[in-house]
Amino acid sequence: MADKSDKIQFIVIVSVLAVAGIALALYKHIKYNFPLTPQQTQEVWTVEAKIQFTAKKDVPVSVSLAVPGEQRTLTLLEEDYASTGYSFVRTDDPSDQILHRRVEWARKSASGRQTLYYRVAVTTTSANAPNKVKPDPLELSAPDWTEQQQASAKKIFAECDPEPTDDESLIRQLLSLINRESFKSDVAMLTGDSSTILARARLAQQLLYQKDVQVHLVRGFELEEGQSRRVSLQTYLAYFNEKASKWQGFSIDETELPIESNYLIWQRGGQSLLEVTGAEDKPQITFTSMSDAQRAYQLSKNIAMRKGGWLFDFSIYSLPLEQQTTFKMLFLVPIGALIVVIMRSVVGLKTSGTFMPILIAMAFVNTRLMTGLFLFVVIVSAGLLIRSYLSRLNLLLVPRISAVLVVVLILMAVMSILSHKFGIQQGMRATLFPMIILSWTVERLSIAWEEEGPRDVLIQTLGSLVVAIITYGVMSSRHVSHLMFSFPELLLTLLAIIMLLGQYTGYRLSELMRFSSFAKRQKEA
Amino acid sequence: MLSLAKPSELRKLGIMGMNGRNVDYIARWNPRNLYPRVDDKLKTKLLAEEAGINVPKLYGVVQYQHEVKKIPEMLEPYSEFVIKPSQGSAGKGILVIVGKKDGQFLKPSGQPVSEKEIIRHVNNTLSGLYSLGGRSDKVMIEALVHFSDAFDRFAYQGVPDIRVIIYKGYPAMAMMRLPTQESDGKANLHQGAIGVGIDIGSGQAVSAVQHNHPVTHHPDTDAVLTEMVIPEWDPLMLLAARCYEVTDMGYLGVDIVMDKDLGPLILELNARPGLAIQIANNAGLAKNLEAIDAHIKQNPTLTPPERVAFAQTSFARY
Repeated sequence: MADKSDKIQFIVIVSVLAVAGIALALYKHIKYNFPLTPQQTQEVWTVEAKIQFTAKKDVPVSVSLAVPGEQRTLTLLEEDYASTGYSFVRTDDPSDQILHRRVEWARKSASGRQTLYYRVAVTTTSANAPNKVKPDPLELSAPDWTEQQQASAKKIFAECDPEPTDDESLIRQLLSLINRESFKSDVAMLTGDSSTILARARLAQQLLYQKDVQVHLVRGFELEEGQSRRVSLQTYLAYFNEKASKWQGFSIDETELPIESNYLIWQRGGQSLLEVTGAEDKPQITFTSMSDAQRAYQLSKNIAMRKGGWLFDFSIYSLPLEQQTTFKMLFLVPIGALIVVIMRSVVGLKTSGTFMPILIAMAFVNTRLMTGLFLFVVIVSAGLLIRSYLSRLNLLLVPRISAVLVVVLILMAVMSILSHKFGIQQGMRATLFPMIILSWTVERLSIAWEEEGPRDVLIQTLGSLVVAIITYGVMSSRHVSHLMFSFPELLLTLLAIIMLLGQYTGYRLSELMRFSSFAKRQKEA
Repeated sequence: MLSLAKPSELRKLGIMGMNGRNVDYIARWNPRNLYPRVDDKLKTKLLAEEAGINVPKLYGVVQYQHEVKKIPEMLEPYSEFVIKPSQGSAGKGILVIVGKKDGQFLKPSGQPVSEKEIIRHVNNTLSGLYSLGGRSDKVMIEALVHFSDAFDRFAYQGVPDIRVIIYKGYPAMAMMRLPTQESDGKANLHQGAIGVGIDIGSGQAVSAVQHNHPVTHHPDTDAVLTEMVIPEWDPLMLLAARCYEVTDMGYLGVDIVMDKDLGPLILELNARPGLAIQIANNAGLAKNLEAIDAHIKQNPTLTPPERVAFAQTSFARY
């Protein structure tokens, strides 16, 4: 940090890195619900619509089903529309793929009993603020009523309070009028003799429209936690209460529905739910729903990947699973580096080699701590003993180290065989990784032995072990590994911290110890 | 009980810590590309000779395997010499020959060494047996230093040397390292050698420590350490200060030995001198470095004698 502009540049870089890391992580946490802790789980519902009918012989069959579109409080995770024998037809009209989605299947010819499935997985998401959506213009076209029908409508309106206090009371009034026994014939006239709930709901919607109240026709059901169960579609009118800024649901049988966050809207608008051509009988549709708890992290990742965004297209999640697993481990290395930096620059522990403690810690993660420590002590001391003998023979460095490697390998093989014979199962999981690290450790320590003497080797080895154990503890923490893998952007923050520590010019803890008697003497003098 | 010094106290005493040294001095004033000038002893020696700085005279260099044949011819004129690796550390691979007898060479212990053994030693050195990390190395053959007997009372067996910290060409602090029985005759403080702080002004001992603890007497010879005065101190200071011009390194450790006939000789330079010198001197180094910085601000271009004069008056303790 020679001059001021360098210093400012440094501070700017470090703060940008630190803030960027934390901000990106928070963004993912808030926007995409990435959990901060590993244990969090979230309920996921799988809803299945099963369509059954008998097909006419040698006639093309096509099936069109209304399916859930975008929801305010739920997120669609994945859909499955595979049905044997049928080709899936994507509906071409993209304008209506958000609120009024449909899927279509087609088959050239079919015969006998047909079964088609549509499955969708949904989960709750942090709700977007409720906002008003204009009802489908198709739903609200002025009804083309005959004079008789208009008379019936007038009759019903006549019973209405001419000046209702608010829209909700008008909705309630109209619904009760439609259901009133005395209006049965008028309602039948208006609905064309259909007494289905859907027909009456559509009627209520049209009547309300004439009174300048816009309601949506919505069909769906509440998702309940637990085992697979049959559910049936409810039909209701959804009204946006602008004063309270919330949606209210009115069932046709006059009960008010609370619109909970786990209410799945299957279909909006008054079109048919299911249309089948080429069926001999009336098609049946049944719905079942089941829920299970899934790892929140996995879920958020899936949602984020589905919703896309630049943040995820080029993220670690776009890699194959196998490589992701590798990165899970690799992302912990910087944490180890941070610990080494702190231990060396702030505490003042001597370690042999800057990153050997990290590698030893990674070997420990591979072998478990106690086994790893045992292996370390036995193999390193044996390796050093052999090295000192080889050194007496005046071997050159590279052959000497290679000889040590061979001996370390033999030792590991012997230990694996012995522990197996004595039935210590998890004992020596001799894998390539720890084996290389241990050989390398022996090499490093051998060189240090020659250059700095046994005392320094002992201090460095103990220092390395202490740092390695601490690093192991941190690395094997599920919270840390979860954080680093879910939020790789935290690496930027980590980088900033490490850079800051690189500018740390204060005393080390070990120096406070080293100079303590010195300071005392100075004080006395 | 573990006792810790307060950081504020240490700062007040001007104690320099490892991090402060690394960031504020070494990283800042010792450019990486200059390191070979101090890490390679042959390079150091050639640069020093060029600048007219006293070093043990270089008799010859063996750099390649095929040059090994010339060794007998090279050694012919000399009856005493030292063979050392150019990048060795901690005194490894140093072969000292003090005489010739019946066509054989003699070690200081009187043990004879044949020409063949010398050639094997050179071969080993060339292939990196003694160098850091096993890199292939060069072999230097240089004049034997006849150590001054001024320190006979204060040293056990081995050879004491003087370490001076030269900051931007100014002597900032000095210490003598005395071998003990415990250090096995080596002038290495870690291994139990005694560090004696030396007054920059006069060359007289100030205080001494062994293993971080103050001592007054040499444990083996019983000599009172503060009685020690280094002869030819002023030329020694000047010699050390001139190493700045040789290396261009702002923060330098200079290791000096005293030859009976030739006076102070530069033995080695070090780009990362340690901090124990503060304890040996019972004083903080940072104070002196700051004083030097302030002086340079006022007088940016001074000759080595002027710099030494400033240091000797400013840092004198007697």
